Amino acid sequence: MDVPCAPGCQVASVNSIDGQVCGGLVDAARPASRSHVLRRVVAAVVTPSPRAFLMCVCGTFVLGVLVLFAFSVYVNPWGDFGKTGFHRLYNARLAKADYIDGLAPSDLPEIVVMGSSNTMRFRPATISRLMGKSAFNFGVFWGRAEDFLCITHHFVDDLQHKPKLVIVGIDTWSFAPAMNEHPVFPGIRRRLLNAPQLSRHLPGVGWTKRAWANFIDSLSGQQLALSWKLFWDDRHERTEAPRLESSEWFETDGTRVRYFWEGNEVFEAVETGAYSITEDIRRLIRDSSQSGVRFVDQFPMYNFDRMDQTKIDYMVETLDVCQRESIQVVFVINPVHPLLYQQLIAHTRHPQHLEELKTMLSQFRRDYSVVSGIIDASDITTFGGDPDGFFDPMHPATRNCDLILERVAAEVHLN
Amino acid sequence: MIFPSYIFVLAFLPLVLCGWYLIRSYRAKLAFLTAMSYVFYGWLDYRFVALMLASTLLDYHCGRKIAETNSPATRKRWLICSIAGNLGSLGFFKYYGFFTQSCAELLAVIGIDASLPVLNVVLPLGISFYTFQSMSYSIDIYRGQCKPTGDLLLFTAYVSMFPQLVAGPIVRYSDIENQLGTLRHQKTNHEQICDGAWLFVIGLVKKIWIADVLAPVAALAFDTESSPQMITAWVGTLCYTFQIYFDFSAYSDMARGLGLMMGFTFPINFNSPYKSANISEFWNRWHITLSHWLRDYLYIPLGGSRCGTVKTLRNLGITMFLGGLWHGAAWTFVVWGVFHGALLMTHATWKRLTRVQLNRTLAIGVTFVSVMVGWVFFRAHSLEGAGSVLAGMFGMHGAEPFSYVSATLGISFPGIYEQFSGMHGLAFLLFVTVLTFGAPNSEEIPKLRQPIVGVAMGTVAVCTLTTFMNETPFLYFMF
Repeated sequence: MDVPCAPGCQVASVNSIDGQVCGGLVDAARPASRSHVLRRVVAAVVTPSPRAFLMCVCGTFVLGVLVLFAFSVYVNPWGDFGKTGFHRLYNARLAKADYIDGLAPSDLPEIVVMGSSNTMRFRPATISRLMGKSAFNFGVFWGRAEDFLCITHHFVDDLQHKPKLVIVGIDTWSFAPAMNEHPVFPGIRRRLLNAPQLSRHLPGVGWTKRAWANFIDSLSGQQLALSWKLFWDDRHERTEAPRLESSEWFETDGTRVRYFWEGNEVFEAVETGAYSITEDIRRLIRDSSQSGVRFVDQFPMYNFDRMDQTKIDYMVETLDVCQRESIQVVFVINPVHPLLYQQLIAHTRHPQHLEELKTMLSQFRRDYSVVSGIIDASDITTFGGDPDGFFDPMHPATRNCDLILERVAAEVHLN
Repeated sequence: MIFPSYIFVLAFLPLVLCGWYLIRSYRAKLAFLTAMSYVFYGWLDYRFVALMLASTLLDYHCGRKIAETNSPATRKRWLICSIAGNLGSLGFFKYYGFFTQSCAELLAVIGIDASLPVLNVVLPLGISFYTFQSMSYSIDIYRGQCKPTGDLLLFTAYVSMFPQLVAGPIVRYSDIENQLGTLRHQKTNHEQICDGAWLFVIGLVKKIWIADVLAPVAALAFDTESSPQMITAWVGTLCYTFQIYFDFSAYSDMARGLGLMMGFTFPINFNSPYKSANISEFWNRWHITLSHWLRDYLYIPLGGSRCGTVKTLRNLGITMFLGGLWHGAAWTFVVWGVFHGALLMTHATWKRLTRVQLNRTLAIGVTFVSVMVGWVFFRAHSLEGAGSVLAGMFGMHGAEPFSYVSATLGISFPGIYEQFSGMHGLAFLLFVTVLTFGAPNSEEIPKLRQPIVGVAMGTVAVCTLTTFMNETPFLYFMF
């Protein structure tokens, strides 16, 4: 297709669509008209040219990468690039570490609870009442062995503080291999990496690796989709990450105060006993079996083949630190709702994992004199707990947690 | 490091291309290519770098020794040395566990409890490919089909060349010898780089947005403990049939694309195999470089089709049996190979006995379903598993209500949160079917050079980049 040229066009090269040479002449002394410039631009982008093609591929690619990166940095949904952003999830690790860092040495807790969100109702107030010492709940979402190591190192090495006791809430998946293989930090939660005072104690986490991880995270579809949602759909504001003191999720002693189940906030209802979760879980199990999907598949963290030696090594290193600093340790094997427990026993390797876990903890007790107790609350029914004392199939409510803490207090004798 | 990964696309590839075109000296170019290929391989699994180097040195040495002498016995001795070394390492790393376990099971059947030593041998990546590649060098020299190189660096560069190192195409020395030689006078060929970019991006799209999307649906039939019912079995097998094609041909496209970007033309490995009207045609279109390798180094030396019907059928059977075993050390692969051998034998017999020609569309359909049934063995974890899926396909486990489709056969695209329903999944499957049977393949697609197309391609490349977080290896990495 020929492109009509402006009167007097002298350019007889690649001025036209489909590589056709235009026939007109241009008066070189006269500036080209706007329509002529437009035609030249159109011709330039549609005329085959390998060199221009490659430049366009590379240029678009580099520009696209930069735009995506800049957008991710601006929205910063996970706190990868500092504390300011459109925060998606509350980073309990960072908030709790920041809070602890701000305490005067005399206010630092003598008893520290570590673990996953399943330990977040181990109330420091109950611990203080039972054992007469100040306490802090450092339970974090998806807390696993690497978190225990980092938190312990942070207290001992950074804050120069030796708690008298750490209560470690363990789940079988505390030692599970990575579920999603992050190319740079397989199996390490991003929220741990974004709490620098903690993650600096993690072996193999240098700044170059972190920078590369943050860069590629910023280009991931998951992060970009989330960033777009926060930026466009939710119209969040770019703010500082909320501190523990102003968090709506936690009290300042680290206890969690908000729980959701099936889209509803259930904290008050479960705590007061007004709502029984057991029937709901039974219904869900029934519905799942009818649709051909197993109920336990909603809890993929329990579905793994074997424990990861790296995670076990993290735990061993944590115990080495505790032994060296004479910090007593009590392990609590966290409970799940009895109906989920039955499903896990029937459909996953949970029985083997539990057995392996108990054997490992017993070995720790033999190897480390500071390990003063192992509380097995995995089966809450035989433990004497309340099946309705759960916010959802995994998270125990206060009455079950208090019962566990009473057993802990009975095992431990603090000076 | 795999091709669809951040480290490859954002760091390794730009570094290699910059280095490649900035370095002017021929030997420095070869050294650079070799070094980067070893970095690439070592990144995947550093433990086996020495093994690849040993295989290279063995064949380089054997090749020279074969060429140095005119004594047939000596030549044969060095050839045997090369073949034994290559097949020995392949046999040990790939088949040791399989053979010891199979022997123990066989002995147990006749009441002998044999405790054979169990070694948990890790399979070195790409060993099946690079041993075949370097072995063909010795054989070709023995046959007088190519001359040995006196340049160890050049030979090392040939064996380790990273684009096709791990999963082919299997490039013979004679294919690449001249191209490596012309590096001395290599000029930047923008046309070739454009073609390479096209193929690389097409490969990325096929891998990320087709193969990886179909994989979870295939898993519903093959990776569950329960026996799949009819719809799941058929849809799962169909998805795997497309998955393996788009996955493997994507790797080949990317390998060829990378080769072109550096000025090398590797042989074509796929030519719309599912458009084949018979099984023989299928093997001329599927994994072409392996088919040709087996033909030239196994089938023809066995006698090929020149020694009567019975021997031809025998040769087909042996070739496909070994072809199956090459793919993996498991009975499922052996049965897959034997199954294809049986199909080829049936086809050869049919051709000799009758002149009946099926309607082409019908013939394509029959071939496709036959190949699909074969993939059941290829994909299943065990023969029992394959039997279970086949039984499901033939309705022996019952059939689900159609509502099941929308409930469980949903798909999701990488990088996108939304889970699409089963009906969308079926629509996608239909789209892939049309693409497979109706669209031109990667080689046939017109590779436009308009800058505006370049912008579109760059945009597509950026979009694929957003899906690299869960690095999914290519299926053929395990072979």
